[in-house]
Amino acid sequence: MLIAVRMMNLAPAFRPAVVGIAALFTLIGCSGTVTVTDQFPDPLVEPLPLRVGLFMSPEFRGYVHEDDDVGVKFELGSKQSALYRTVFDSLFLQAIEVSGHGGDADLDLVIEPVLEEYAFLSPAETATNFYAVSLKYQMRLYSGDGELIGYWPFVAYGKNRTQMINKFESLGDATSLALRDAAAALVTQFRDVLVSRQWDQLEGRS
Amino acid sequence: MSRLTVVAMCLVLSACVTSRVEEFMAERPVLSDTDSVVILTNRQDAVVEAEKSFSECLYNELEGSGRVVNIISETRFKDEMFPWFEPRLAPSRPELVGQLLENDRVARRVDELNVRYLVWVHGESEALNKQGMMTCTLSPAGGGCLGVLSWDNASDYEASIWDMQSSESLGVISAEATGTSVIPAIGVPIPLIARTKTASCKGLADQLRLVLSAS
Repeated sequence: MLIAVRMMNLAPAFRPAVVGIAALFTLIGCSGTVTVTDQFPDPLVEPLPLRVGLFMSPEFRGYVHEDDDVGVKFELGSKQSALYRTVFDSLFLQAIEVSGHGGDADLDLVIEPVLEEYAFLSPAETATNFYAVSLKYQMRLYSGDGELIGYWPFVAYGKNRTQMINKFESLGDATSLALRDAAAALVTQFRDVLVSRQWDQLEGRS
Repeated sequence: MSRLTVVAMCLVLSACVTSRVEEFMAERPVLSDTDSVVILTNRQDAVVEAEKSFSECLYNELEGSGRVVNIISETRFKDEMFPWFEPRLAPSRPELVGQLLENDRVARRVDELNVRYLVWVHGESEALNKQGMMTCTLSPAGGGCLGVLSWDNASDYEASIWDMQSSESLGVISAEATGTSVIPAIGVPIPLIARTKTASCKGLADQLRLVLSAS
């Protein structure tokens, strides 16, 4: 009882700290800042002897993910654009950014990445301690004169352990990891598709 | 009792932790002064994955010890080898390291970094059997808590050591730690936390330090 009284006597001294902590938790609860990296290392890959145009549509470059239910809104377009530029610079002998998917006969191929879906699952939904992110892409392949010759779909994944203080930091890190996973798919599986020229057997041939 | 005393008490007090480290090595690593070792988190398990804080603790313990050959951080290594050590492509078995090194660019980068051994860390810390109740009130006139909370902490990690030259596993070192955390509160909560993750990290680091010292 004596201890209780002494502790309660200390309460006024702790008051600013307690109020501060309460305010901090309130702010954390409302915080929706998701930070995704736009810094990617140059991939270690043997470049393909192709002259390729990279077409990224304004929708792709400016994609913003917004989820009112969860309270997040963040910009993904510039991050994925940075990733594709970095990967294409290493994956091909020459990769130039183009403003459309046709009309340059000097190019062997024009490739347009399309983000079909960005999705994530929270730890509550996965029944784990992780945020899980998926990026569903479709790589559209055009000949130099603009004819659609095929496409190659793939899904990239990233997961990251949830953080006690800022759960959105974990979501941002999982998204960054999913972008890195996209690079892994591009320099291996997509490269194989291009080497074997299997794109013209794909379902998307026009 | 001054406020300083209470803060000091919170920092000093911690619950008891029991830890155990075991080594199952088929062969001891043979390292020269120029060889490097990489500490990596196994991210291919869907459910269990060592926390970033654990990998950082292990790296700091080993890097700061001065007795181990060069340690390369996970972030640096994965960037240098990008994207070959991302979860999609990272070798899941030691035999697959040889296959990866058939890629000239990858092999050249491994040589440049002088990487001889990979240490794959796997495991996690859990809080189990949460019990008790605590009620806290906060008002402009002050605040306080009453009650007690307790839970069991369990940490279980293992480090597998792979030789990049022979593409073989040399063995595994495991570290387990358990303890019970308690937060009694009669006015001010006093956390008595069982720091099992820290104990596992230090235990694993101590054993790795012995194993990975340059011969």
